[in-house]
Amino acid sequence: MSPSGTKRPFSSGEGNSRNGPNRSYSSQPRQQQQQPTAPPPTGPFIPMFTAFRNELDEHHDRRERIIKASRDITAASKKIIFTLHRLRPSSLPLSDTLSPHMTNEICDYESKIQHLLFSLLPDLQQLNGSRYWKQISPGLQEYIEAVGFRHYLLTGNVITWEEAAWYTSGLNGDEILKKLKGGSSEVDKDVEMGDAGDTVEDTSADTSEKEKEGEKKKLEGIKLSKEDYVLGLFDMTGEMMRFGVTSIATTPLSQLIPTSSTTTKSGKGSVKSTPQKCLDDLRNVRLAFEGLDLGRSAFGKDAEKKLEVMQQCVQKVEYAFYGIVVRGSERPDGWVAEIESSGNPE
Amino acid sequence: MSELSGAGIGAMIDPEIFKQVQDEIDEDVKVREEIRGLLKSLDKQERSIQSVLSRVHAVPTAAVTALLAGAMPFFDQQREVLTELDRVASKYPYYKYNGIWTREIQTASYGIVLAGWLGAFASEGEEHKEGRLMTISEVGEKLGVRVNVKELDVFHLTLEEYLHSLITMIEELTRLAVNSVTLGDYQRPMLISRFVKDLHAGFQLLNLKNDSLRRRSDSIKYNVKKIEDVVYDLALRKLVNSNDSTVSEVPNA
Repeated sequence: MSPSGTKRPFSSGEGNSRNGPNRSYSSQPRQQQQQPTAPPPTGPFIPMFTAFRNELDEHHDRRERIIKASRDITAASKKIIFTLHRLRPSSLPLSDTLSPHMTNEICDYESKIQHLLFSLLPDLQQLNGSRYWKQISPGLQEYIEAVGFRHYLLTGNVITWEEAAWYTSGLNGDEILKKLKGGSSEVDKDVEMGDAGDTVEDTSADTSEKEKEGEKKKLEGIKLSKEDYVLGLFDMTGEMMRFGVTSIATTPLSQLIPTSSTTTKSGKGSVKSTPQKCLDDLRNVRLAFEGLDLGRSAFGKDAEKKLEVMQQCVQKVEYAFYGIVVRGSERPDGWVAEIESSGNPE
Repeated sequence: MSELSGAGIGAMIDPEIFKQVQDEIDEDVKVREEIRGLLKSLDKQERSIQSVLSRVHAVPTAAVTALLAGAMPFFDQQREVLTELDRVASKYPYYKYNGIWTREIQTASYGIVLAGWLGAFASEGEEHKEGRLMTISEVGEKLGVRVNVKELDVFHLTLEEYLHSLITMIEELTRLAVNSVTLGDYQRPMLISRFVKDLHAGFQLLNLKNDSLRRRSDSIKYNVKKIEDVVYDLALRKLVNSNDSTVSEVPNA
């Protein structure tokens, strides 16, 4: 029997069953009270259980890695959302692309998320994809919320499942970063800082590209479930609500609710103010979600709770409009709440 | 407001995607129902097996062989249901639905390991002998299902489910140790004591997280103690040859 000094977790050794007992006793303090100076256990089933232990350890390690990455993805996604909330777009969808400043910031978070997703791929192959779904899904949902919110601001549409799945697969990191930067490349030319940031990012992406390519061929991407997609979109409506309320507060009254004459004249939605467009969209999303028969599975219960929250979100924006209509006329013309320095108080 | 309704949902949301989501939800409901239907008949077979096997507490050791023979048709039927379950479940991601059947497959595995311990499934010509541990692959073979699959996303018996079934067997053997004494069989408790201690030693090797397996495996030591009490009672009264006793072999729990 080997000396009992080895505390290393029994992960690398194979078929080394004789050493197993010692290590287990030294690494399991909770059993020491029972058997303070216990000799290594012997018995007919020890080799079998040693193999089981290796397997279970592997499973727990993998599970913890995924939980941790999922949390990091959630945190980075939240940061993307915060960054986006700093926008004060005058139109929806955005007629201008994001400022290079913002793009760089989002790219940083995005590349972090993509890196995390990619690093998880080996742990989520085949059977393990569904095995650790519960662990990875909070991160994926938050990421869809962020990606979906950005997609909404830029295009005015709800992100499709296909596109969301492209983002979450973990295999498209380079393309995603390229796409993000490509969108703002025209603006970038004017700003040196933005350019510098880009080139640094690009070279680092190039070096790892080759090794990534090799691995990619073997790995299958993370499969986005429709459940996660839907739940992510539910959360996104909360962000739309915050965005809508902020827009109401920061839009001058005269632009907020264009007079009916101008609306009917052009007959187009583009005349609508940003908050109005946002409210329309929220109502559309609400209608679409309410049309779903969610079922009584765990997902159904989860979604039902989120549905209620979403309905409240829509209502909040509706109430904000109500407040403006009722009390807005008391505001001096052109007055806006001083939330940002860009406001123009008179 | 009139232009609002005119815009329609399709303006910003692709209605097709919501139709797809709805289809998937409906499909999910259907799959669950199909699986539950199969589990009902699996449950029925398991009950039949349990009711035969639990008679072991009341029949003399000599009658166990006949008892096991009576359970065999139910095992065969159980295998048929499991094959069907395998066929249905393997079409979908395994861990998406495994929560539905995990209890039933644990019970099925338990039936095999207990019957195996009692001497069932012995190879031809081998004499009837108690105290055998069915390995996970043997259990899978008897159940007709794959075991401990690592990569392919198909139906199987997981390692955890097998371990759960071993714990259930330990609980049953504890009861059997007591009842064997009542039936006048003083040797079987010795065998059980040895066997359960060996298993206990095995379980102590595992680094379990705070889950149901951990809680249940923590309770094994109480079973070890109960069996030891039986052994102690027998040894004290010199009802067994102390050479058969295994008390000193494995550290006391």
